[in-house]
Amino acid sequence: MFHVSESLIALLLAYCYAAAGDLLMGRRAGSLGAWNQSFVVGLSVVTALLFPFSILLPGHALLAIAVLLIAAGSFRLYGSLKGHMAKPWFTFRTPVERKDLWALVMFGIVGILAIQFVVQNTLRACASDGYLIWATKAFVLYRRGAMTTDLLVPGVYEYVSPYPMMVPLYEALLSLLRGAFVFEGTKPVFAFFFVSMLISTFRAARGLASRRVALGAAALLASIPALTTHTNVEGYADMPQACLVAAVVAAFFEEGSPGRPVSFREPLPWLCIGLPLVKSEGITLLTILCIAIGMLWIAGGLAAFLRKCRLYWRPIAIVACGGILRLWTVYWVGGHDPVFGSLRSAATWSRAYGRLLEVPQLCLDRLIDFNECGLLWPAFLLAIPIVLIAGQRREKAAVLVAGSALVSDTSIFYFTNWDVFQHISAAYNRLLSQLAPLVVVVLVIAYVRLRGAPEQTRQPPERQARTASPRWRRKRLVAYVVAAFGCILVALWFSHRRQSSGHSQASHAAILGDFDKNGEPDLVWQNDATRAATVNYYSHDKNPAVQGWAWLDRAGAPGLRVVAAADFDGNGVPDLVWQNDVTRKVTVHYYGGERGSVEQGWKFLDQTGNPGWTVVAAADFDRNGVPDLVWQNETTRQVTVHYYGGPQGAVPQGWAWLDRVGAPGWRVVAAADFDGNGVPDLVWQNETTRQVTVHYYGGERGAIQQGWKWLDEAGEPGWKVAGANDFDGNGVPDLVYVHGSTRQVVVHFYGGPRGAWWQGWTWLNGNAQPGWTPIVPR
Amino acid sequence: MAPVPGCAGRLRDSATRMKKDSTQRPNWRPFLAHLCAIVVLGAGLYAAAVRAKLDHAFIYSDAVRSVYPAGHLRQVEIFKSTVPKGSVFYIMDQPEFWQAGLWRRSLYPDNPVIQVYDPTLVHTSNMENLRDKLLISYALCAGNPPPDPGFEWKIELPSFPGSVPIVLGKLKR
Repeated sequence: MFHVSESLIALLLAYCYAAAGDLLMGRRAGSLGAWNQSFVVGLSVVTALLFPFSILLPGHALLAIAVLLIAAGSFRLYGSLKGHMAKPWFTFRTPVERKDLWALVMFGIVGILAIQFVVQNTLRACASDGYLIWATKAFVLYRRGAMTTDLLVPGVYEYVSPYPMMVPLYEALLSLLRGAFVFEGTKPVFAFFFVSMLISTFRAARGLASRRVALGAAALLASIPALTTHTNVEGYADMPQACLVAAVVAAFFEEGSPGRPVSFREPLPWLCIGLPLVKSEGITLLTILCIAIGMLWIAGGLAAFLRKCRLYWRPIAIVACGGILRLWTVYWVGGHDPVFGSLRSAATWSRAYGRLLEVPQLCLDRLIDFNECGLLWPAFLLAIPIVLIAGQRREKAAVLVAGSALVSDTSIFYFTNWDVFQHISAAYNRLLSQLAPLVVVVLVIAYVRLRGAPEQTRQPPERQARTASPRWRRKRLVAYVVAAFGCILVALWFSHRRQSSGHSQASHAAILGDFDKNGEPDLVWQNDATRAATVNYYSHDKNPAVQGWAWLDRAGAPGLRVVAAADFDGNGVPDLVWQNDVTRKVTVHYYGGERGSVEQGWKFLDQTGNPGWTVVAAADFDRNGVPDLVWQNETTRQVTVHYYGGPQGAVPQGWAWLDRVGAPGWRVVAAADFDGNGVPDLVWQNETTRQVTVHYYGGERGAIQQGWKWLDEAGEPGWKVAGANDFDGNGVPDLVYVHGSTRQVVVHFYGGPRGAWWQGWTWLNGNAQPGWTPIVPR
Repeated sequence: MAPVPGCAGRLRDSATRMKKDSTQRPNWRPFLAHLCAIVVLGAGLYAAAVRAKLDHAFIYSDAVRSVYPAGHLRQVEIFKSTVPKGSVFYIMDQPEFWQAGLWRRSLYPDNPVIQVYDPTLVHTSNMENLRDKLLISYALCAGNPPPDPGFEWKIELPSFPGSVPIVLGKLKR
């Protein structure tokens, strides 16, 4: 289960990569930090070689690279055995001093977070892009032995063909040494990227601050959910990209100011060429970095700039060659990414113009999403003025790079062919997570500058002067801090405005599904065998808790199932809708009395029945104040709505299609108004992947589909959506999930634009309740 | 040049004061720095804890360990025992990427899968040319019900929870 042999092979490869990096830099890494740097240098250089090898040795490039790597590893091992028998091969200095409790705590936190990543990374199979793009590219590379212009169908271009090869190469090499390709067996490589990212960030921060602060920086980085869970444990390449960013940042701050021409053995240029070899956006990061370094040099005057160019001509040549090689690869593969509109088309630019306001608004919303990044990005906004006022030139350059990358990452959304909301909610947090190591280091700089005390850094004395704090100018500081706070407030205001748009009327106007009328929705349970029904009352609280229960139907009715609960008679208490398992006839049982648990009579809603069709939800589509029944065909998965009205809401008023085509493998699990237009929307869940979408409705009698969005793109294996209701009182329905076997129940809160952004979750029933099924009343 | 008498002391005082100003740290700065650091790190750890609680409830107990469901692997076995090496069509009644993606990777490289998103496209000249070029004789048809492009014979592959109904057949010439 833990892929032990694959992990060992990945470790062996990591050693070989580091050996290759060592050989290139003409050194022998003796510490973990240096070894880590050599590892990333090796990754960059070896990946850069894949393309020329594929041209020169079609079908054998992978094997050639494997041979080279093993040769490098063997050479390094031989050197260690021969020349250093008397000395230890490797020294591991613990980053914690014995008496430094805070450093020990930070180190412990980093360790725990790293372990959680490794465990999750092992447990989860590749998903979505991790499977369909990165592991697939590795699979094809393993099979074909070299880069190809096509992918799964020989001769047919696919848009992922030009995507960079660093992650697929590592995975393919692992499979080559393993002797077979297994998709799940490629996952151990990500643990090495993760640990490397933490070490690089520690190293970068350690050059600027004390040990405990550097460990705190690593802990902060390891705690960011957008970087350490979600897609990063599903085989995506964003975290490896962050690993490269971290290594570049560490090398950037270690770089000296030489008085003679810089050797080609310096690590920074080699690390830079690795940036565009992980993900396509790496080329943007590399460009921004080059511009920032150019600006840094030119700030000292033209003469100083030219002198720097003379000193650094070798690194400049290496980076230029790396960039050209990457562009050549893209040109060689050819084609066009269908995700984005052509920049030659006027329509693309016109569409981009129309998105001028929408894209920044949506991106700001993501930027301050606490669930994904905590306070990382708001803190970064506050750190900008501090570093710009009190930082050294190089530190200011780092802030400029981070800020520019932050803005440039939004640019792709102006040109996307996808729904812009869809694309931003799926991708922007991932793009941001790639910059996280740099942002964490900027926060460390801001901390050091704000604190003002000399830090016990690891830098030699001549470099310590560079980190000495210059004088503060308080008036400017106040202006900058006020401006930064202003930015955050504007972002919060945008976020609040968007979250509340469309929901102001719905919010708090009517609490649906509330039996005891305490302002909090309740939950109906039905026994699978006896079909007895109960209601669990919930407290009106941020985290609703069960506050008692009552029978709704103690005797039960075998052969009949509660399929929905909604208020048909208008007394404010939900009524139970029952359907016969065989005849599919439908009745409504009215409730009222003490805490809404006393039956008040019943009526037929559908006396003829519709065999093959099931009632999946009850909600008011035609806005006449009476819930309507949503039916779904069990085979074709088509969906209809049957309207109701009249006395006690039991008189049929016609019907309409909600989905005439149907979606095989998908089931309607709830109907509730997510976009705040007053018409319920349909929530669908995939029966295999457990992904969840919402399909919006409006128009005539609420039966016209008006787009769709993901509610849970990853899916929660083992969990089914039981229904939707507004448990947190923000006017947006929340999804209630039930576990397939234990029947534990959780609620996932939603908000944001069109009610489709996840806001957190809590338990509704943490105890196992096997044999009972929850129904969410409306 | 010697300093002007009477001014030297004032200059020296001024210089001392400036030096003192520039080196003296206001007390609020270390406090503010520590406070900010604690808030940011604390918020990060809190967000991580919330996420870990969620992961504990979902991922650790029910993570999908393999991309391929057992039912799908059974279908692939039947396919491989029936169809020789060569390209095949995967015809959908409507675009559906995940199952199609599973099939493309399961059958690679022996049977490259050509996806057809609309059953009506099968008999267009482009597809006919492709069929002749790649000698395509077999098709997988997925949908509810699976589309029928015209088979010599066909078999229904066993379904599994969450699968799209799928048939395998040999195409008529």
